[in-house]
Amino acid sequence: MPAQYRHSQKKPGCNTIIKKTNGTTNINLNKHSITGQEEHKATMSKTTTKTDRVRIKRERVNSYKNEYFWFSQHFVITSILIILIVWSLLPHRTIIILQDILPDGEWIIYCESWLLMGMLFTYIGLFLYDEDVLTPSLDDLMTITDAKANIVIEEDVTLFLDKYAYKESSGIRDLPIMDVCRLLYDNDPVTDE
Amino acid sequence: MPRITKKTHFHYTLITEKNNDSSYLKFTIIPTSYNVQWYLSCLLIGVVNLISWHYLRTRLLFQVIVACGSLGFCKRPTVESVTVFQDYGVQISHFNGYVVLPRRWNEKWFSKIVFYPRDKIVDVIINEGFEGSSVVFYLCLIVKGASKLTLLFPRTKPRLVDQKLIYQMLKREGV
Repeated sequence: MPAQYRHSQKKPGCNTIIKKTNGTTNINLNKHSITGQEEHKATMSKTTTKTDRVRIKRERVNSYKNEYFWFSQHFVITSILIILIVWSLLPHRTIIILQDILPDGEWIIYCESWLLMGMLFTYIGLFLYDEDVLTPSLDDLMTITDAKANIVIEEDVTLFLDKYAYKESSGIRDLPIMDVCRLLYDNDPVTDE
Repeated sequence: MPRITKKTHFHYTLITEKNNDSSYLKFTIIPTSYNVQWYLSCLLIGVVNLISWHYLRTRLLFQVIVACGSLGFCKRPTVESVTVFQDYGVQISHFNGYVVLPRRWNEKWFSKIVFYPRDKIVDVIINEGFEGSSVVFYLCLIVKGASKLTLLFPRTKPRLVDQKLIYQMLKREGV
């Protein structure tokens, strides 16, 4: 749900004016009419651009709802950990008293071993997955460039050399691999070690 | 007569052939362990066949299958080469072939050759990539319209010094 719309829902009764990103139309919308809301939803889903979607996503990540979720997650995991530690450190006699409530004492060892071996296999599996699946092969074009690249294109060679080749740029820019190779390897006389 | 220069390294030997008018340039990389690997393959084939003869004395058909299988399975080490014809293009070839045949026959019959015309080649580069958990340098061609890069020496990866040398010579040839 778009952020502007969510914000307007918190204050029922007020009229909201939504500007389209292309700036052609303004939609005057009354919150009390259900049909209006649906129309608004439809138009918003059609007209949201990429920057809008990024902003909405960011707002969704930073919302209070997530903070509650993260806190409860932290609370649950910490309490499970504390219970496990206390349970494993309890003297044997106490366990006999509590045996109607708690499962058998050896289960704690099973659980911990499962967890430990699971972690081990997860780490090895992630490592192998990273290496074999996510890493592009040597002949992949992604090793040179991809759709997200921000390549420097300069007509003048001296300008390219002055501005980018031997100088840090203020943003993240990609230098063309062919020029980089020419600068790194072509001018350098080969000396055998 | 082409001028031939040899450069030996621990893992491989780089042979460069060049014409006097530099219209033709060929790089060949032969692994240093070429002969050792060949002897080892011969030994392995011999041992396998001896065992099969010992255990399958009466079954001639199985003996023949084992002999053919071992000869087909054990191959010679790969020899890779890149040839540049000035103003025409680059030819990439490699061959390994069978142990029992001489090298010249293997080269003649089993070499796989790909030719890239000059107007299809965008440029030659020394790229960096991940192989396992280490970063390696490798020479490759960018070919117009291809969905993949063309690696020049994919099996025996030469050292960066030799890659630089090959790169510079390729550039002089106008690739």
